[in-house]
Amino acid sequence: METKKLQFTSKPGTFIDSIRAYREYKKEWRARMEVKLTKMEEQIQRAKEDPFFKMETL
Amino acid sequence: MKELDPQHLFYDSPYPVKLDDGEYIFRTDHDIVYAVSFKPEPFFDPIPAYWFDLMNRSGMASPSDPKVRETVIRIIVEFFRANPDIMLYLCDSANDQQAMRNRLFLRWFTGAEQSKLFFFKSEMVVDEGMENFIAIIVPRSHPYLDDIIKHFDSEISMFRANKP
Repeated sequence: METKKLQFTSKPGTFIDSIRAYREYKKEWRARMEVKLTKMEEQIQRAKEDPFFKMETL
Repeated sequence: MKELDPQHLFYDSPYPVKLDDGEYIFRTDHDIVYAVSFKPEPFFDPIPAYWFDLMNRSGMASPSDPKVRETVIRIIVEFFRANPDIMLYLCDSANDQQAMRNRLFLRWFTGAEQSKLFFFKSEMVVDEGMENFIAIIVPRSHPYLDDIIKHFDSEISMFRANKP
């Protein structure tokens, strides 16, 4: 059986916009992750110094 | 996106993989935590497509570890078992290491077993003064493989032709 012809719905020449948007998303994600890691390191340090310090879930 | 089979990921992978808040997480023997995520990309509509992302969550340098590669390939195979369409990969530009990451990803994906199952293509385009390495992976059994690759190639050519 012959496969039906596929019609993409996206406008030609717009893939680069997707790449740019995704690049931005990755940058933001990495920045958020760095903040999270710094907070975790601070919490671990406090927990080492203070046995009664309660770790928060980040 | 359909979720990946948790049984396969946990028991059949060199490092057990768990789903955590939308990301697939595993911890290595060197105590490094990796997160794999998939983000939908509408450009290939009506064919579903997803950006694949691999992040070192520990912020520590990772020593060479073949089990990481095997675990990531297992996740990707499971991804395609549940979502047999398009996967895209954009090499992270952190520390200007995108070319090195592209070579590593190519090496992972041009293994004999992977080549039999998946069509893999990687292209580089310069945008805003930055090198972007973009890979597309499609199962060889996909009924629209040729159309998908033509669509991808045409966009890459168009972008290069329009650059000053």
